[in-house]
This record gives sequence, C-alpha cells and structure tokens, in this order.
Amino acid sequence: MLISLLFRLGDVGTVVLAVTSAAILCGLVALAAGEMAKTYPSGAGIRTFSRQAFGETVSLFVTFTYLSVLFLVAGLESYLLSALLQITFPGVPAFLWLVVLFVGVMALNIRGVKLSAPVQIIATLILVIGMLFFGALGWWQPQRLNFVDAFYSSSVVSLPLLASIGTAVFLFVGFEWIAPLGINRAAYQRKIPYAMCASIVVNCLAYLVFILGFAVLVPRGDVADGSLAHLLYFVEMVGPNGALIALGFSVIAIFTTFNAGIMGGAQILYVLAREHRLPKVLTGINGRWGTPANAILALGFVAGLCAVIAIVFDTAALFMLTSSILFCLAYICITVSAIRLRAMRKIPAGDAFKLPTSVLYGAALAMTAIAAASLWELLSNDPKRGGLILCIFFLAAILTAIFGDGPHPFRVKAAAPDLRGEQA
Amino acid sequence: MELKAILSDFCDRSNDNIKAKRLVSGWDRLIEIQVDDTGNSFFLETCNGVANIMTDPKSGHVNIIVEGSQNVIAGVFSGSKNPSSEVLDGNLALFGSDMDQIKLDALSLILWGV
Repeated sequence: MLISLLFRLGDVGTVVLAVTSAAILCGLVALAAGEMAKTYPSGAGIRTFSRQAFGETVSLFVTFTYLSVLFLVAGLESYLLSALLQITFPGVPAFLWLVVLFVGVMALNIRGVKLSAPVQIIATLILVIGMLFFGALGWWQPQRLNFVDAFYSSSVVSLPLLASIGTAVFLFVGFEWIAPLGINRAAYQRKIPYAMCASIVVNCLAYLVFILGFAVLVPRGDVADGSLAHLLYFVEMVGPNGALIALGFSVIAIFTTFNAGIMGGAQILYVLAREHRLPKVLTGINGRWGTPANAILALGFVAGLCAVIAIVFDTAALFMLTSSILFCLAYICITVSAIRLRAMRKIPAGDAFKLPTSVLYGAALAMTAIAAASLWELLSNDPKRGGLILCIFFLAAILTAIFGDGPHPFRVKAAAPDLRGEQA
Repeated sequence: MELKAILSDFCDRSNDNIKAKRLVSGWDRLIEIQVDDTGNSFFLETCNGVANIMTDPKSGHVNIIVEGSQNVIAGVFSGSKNPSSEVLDGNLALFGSDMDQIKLDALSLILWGV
C-alpha cells in the first residue's frame, strides 16, 4: 500500500529519491538512538530518551502518541493481510480473516511462542532476497514497459518531494526497536549502531530494486490506484498464481514484523503500567507462561478495532499517512533528545558513531520539514483528515494529564515492601 | 543487609510463594547480577521451579545479565525500588531476551507488588 501511495505522490524518479532520502535521514536518527542506547541500554527507547532529556510530562506525551501509532500500524497491517486473503480466497470475508489473525497472534503471544532467532533470520532473508530477486526479474519480463516512459510518465500529478520523503519514512519504521536488544553492554559499542544502520541500508536497497521493477512492469496509474501494489506486480509477472506469491510475502512479513509489533507494543503497555503510568490491570501476567497477557489482549483489542475501522470506513491510506507523520515526529524527538542529552552531558563524549551536533540539528530540521510537508499533503485534499492526528494528540494529552506526575485518583500507590531482617 | 543475604532472601521468598514457583516452573535460567561499584558478580539460578543464589556458577550459559550499583541492586531485590523506574532512570540495565526480562520483572511484582 505504501508503494501505491508513493506512486500517487510522484513518478518513479521522485519515489527513488524519496526512498533514498528517507533512508539517509533514518540512518542519522538511528545513530542518534544508538548513541543514547549506550547510556540507557535496556530502557524503553523513546520513552527513556525523552524522559532523560525533557522530563516526565513530555516523555509521557510522546510515548502515548507513539503507542497510538503502534495501534494504528498493527490495525493497518492486519487490514492489508485480511484484504489480500479475501482477494486470494474470495469465499471468506475479510472480517473473518481479521478475527482468525488476531486470535491466532494474540494466543501465540500469550502462550509465549516466539520465532527462534534462526527462523527470524531466515524469514527476513527470504523477504529481502525475494524482493531483490523479483524486483530484478521485472526487468527481464517480455511485457515490460519502456523505461524512459516509465520514468517520466505523468498520469498522476506529482506532489512535493518532501511529502514523498515523509511517506517513505514509513518504509524504515522499526529500526529503533533494535536499540534495547543488546545481549550485553559491549554490544552497544558497535553492534547495535551497526545493526540499526545495516537494517536501513538493506531495506533501502531491497525497496529500490523492487520499486524499479514496479516501474517497468506495472503502469504507474495502476500502481497508484491500487492498495495492494505487490499483488498487481506478481500477477502481472506470473499471472493469477502471482497472488499466492504476494500472499506468501505478506504472511512471512506478518509473522515477523506484525508479531514483533504486537509484542513490542504490549511490552510498552506493561512497562508503563509497572511505572504506574497506566492502570495496574495492564501488569497482569499469565501465571504459567509469564507473558504480559493483559497488555497483549488490550493491544490486540485496540489494534483490531483500528483494522475494523479501516475496513468499514476505508481509512487505510489515512492511517498510513498519519502514521508516517507521527513517526517523523517521533524521530525528531529522538534526534532532539540526543542533542539535549549531549548538552546536559548525560551522554559521554568520544564515540566512534558520534555525529557532529550540527548534523543532528540538520537531521531534526529536515525531519521537521518533511513532517510539515506530509501534514500539508494530508490536509490539502481534505482538512478533515487532520482530525485523526488531533484525536491522537488529544488522547495522549488526556492520558498524560491523568497518569502524569501530580495527585489524581487513578494513581496506584506502591505496596510497602516487607524488608524482613532489614533492621538487623 | 548484605547484598548476598538480600539475594538469598529473594530466592527464599520466591520458593515459598506459590505464584512465583508457578512462574519459574519450566523456566530454567542462569542470571548474572553484576554490581558496578564493587565489581562483584552473583549468580541466580532457576532450575525445576526452584531459585538459588550462588557466588560461582557451576556451568552454563548466562541467559540474563542484571547490571547496577549495589544500592540499586539491593533495592530492586528487596522490594524498595521499582525495577522499571530504575531502568528508566538508567540506574539498572537488563540484558537478555525480552520475555526473560519480563519474567524477571514479573517475579519482582509478585513478591513485592512494586
């Protein structure tokens, strides 16, 4: 769907430039995040960084906003998969696929079933190599379009490049989730920063090859008008059976990124509840498997609701554009947090990956510009589309007011510890 | 209270608590507790639903590393400090799989309610 949105915004030259620019910007943000993760290795990423830099209130607002976006993204991913499944198996309605998907993923997460590291690596390799292979294969198809025509086709009016970059940022979302995964402190010297940047580089290369394949195989107007662009591509390449290839890609992606998103989001809910920043019920653990069951159920319920809204009101594109803008804002927060923590001397000096502060300022300004352009693009066709962002901000503000510092009726008092023998 | 005694007390409480025993049942792990300011390390082992503390591990691969100052480690394992807050403040670091980290935190929640 994101590729469809990108091709709506510009021709393939614009899309290539947007994806590359987004990758470079995200790489700079990744280095900023890696620098902070050295000092706060097992903290909850943006929650910890923003709290250390700007205090509790700002951090809570940013975290609640970020959490809202995770709900949207989970709902969006599940909606897209259920739509693809409905196309592939027309006899089964999308709602039923949605129910099966959410029940299945939540059950696996509550049970504590996780893909082992080798399986995750293999799944990722299949996705990346698959995108590279099939993207390149598009150039050898007898029915491919004229390259020059593809590059300069203008069946859809091009829109500002900045808005395209803002949308393309969504392609790289999730690199920041690598930050708390170090197995020891030494991993944060090189491995974690390398891993974040490498993930962005690999993704960028795979997307560019795939997009260039689109450009020569599927007319731009068809890509721009659709919502399941990869389905169009594979059907064009191999015929009706291409739907199964598209489905295979989506299923692998779901069981890696979607599952990781559900678990990651549930962990954020759990940690916030442990800090007494959300209702204590969200700390509920399954006694047998030790998983944050209540947080998983809560996340699944809200994400499922988002998916239903996407189906009923056809708001998938709105969700995606809104998520892109809010992720840009989150990355601005990460970059500015690094700048502030340096000024506060909370981050030690002397680091192989330390960017000049001027570069961080530049990255923050660039992200601000593309977020603003993306927002302009969102509002330009219909100002009411900005309502979702306003709702998210309003919700985050309400939650911050309720669960932030200061007396309020919902704050849970910590139980007095039994320090037996302490006085001896 | 000496840190080793606090950690032993933590294990005793865990072994005496039905919910805690259920939580660690089938969760065989070796946890290394590194005390930054003293340079000491302690090892907490869960095996067959029983938690034990030892100064030297007999063998095995460390699954989780808990790193912090003596004051923070003592506070977290005695229930006077909230581990999530200490992680947020950068005073405590946990290295290990996310599920293992949650289980360890859940153990603290069951025992102390903090």
